[in-house]
Amino acid sequence: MIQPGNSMKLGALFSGGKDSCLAIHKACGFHEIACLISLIPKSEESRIFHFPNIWVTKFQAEAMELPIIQIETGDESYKELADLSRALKLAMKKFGIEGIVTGAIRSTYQASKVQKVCDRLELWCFNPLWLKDQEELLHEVLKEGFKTIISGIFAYPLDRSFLGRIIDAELVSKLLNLWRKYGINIAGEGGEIETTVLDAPFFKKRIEVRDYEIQYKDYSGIFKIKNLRLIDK
Amino acid sequence: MSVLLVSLCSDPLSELEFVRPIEQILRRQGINIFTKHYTKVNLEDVDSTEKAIICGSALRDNTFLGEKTFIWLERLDKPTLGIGSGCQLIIKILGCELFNKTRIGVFKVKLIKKNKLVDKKYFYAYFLTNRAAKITKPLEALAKVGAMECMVKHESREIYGCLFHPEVINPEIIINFALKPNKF
Repeated sequence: MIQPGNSMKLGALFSGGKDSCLAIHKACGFHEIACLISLIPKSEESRIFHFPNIWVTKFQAEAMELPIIQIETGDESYKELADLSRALKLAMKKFGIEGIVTGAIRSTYQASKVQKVCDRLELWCFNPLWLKDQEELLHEVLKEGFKTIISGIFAYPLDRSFLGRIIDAELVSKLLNLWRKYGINIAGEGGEIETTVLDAPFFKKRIEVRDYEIQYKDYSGIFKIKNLRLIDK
Repeated sequence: MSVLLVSLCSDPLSELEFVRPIEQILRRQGINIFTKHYTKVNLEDVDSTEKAIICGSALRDNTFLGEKTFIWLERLDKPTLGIGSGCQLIIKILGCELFNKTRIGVFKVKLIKKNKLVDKKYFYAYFLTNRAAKITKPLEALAKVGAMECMVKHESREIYGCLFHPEVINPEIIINFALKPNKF
């Protein structure tokens, strides 16, 4: 358990990226994170192109010393809701969660779906990054000592050189310039950028990437982790 | 301009979601803000600021509705805006009836009375509420979503309420409240 105490037990909706990790980091200060919950797309295409490192979530959970519930989900909206509901019910039963924490920032579509499911299940829903300024968010990821890599790019002018890069002060500055010039959502919630967290203050172990593959074409690409190991901190 | 922001959140983690975004909107306008939890607000706080905004809270957070510590609000003679739960609180304190009604997501709202906060006949707003109200005097409805009254004003005072969350897609409502001069 990350933060034992007399607070609520929360499940964290977890994608493995910086937003869900930052949300966990914030929630840890107030509540106990009892488990991670990941929805894994059934569709091979979705899995390969939008969640190339979803398999890494299992190792991130191990690095945090937290159990993880992984549920496969269909692409259709109604199936996604039913699958989310199934995952949350399982987390309630197995880990006694009373609420969840998510890394939602701006998407009213995604936030509404999660709020509706939580309402039906009488779970608290916390979105500590909600409406957070994207520049402030990236700076916070740096300040808190997260080691995050860019694992997917899906918009012009993001090219191959971004794939696998660690988000550091120089990259944040570069992304901010692209945001000002091209209006891309640099926090990545619009789907332009996917990230994978390799280390964070609440990780008990860090992840070292041992092998990877880059697939890239026309401002769209993924950094696929093929082999990794966990290292004691 | 100085605005007192009141948090109704019984859980501090929720303040990041329901209070910080409003602070962010007001700070960008150069407005001085002073944030306090509702259990800590006193009449001196009210006297030292020009306007007050009572922020929302999580869907499951209804602790504030059972409290009797709102003497400061009953005596509040400053322009006030209630958002989400803050609107529910204003509605309750002013004697209107709240009832259970869940509405979550983005919905089209129809303006039914001209006011200084909104100048569009129709607009979209983000709802996260499990209560609605039967609006009676001294409140009057300013806007509706379907048959549900979702924006209110006191008939003679500068007290407003939005059952939706304007900080999400209608920040101009918060800015207009804070910056436009008071009028009755």
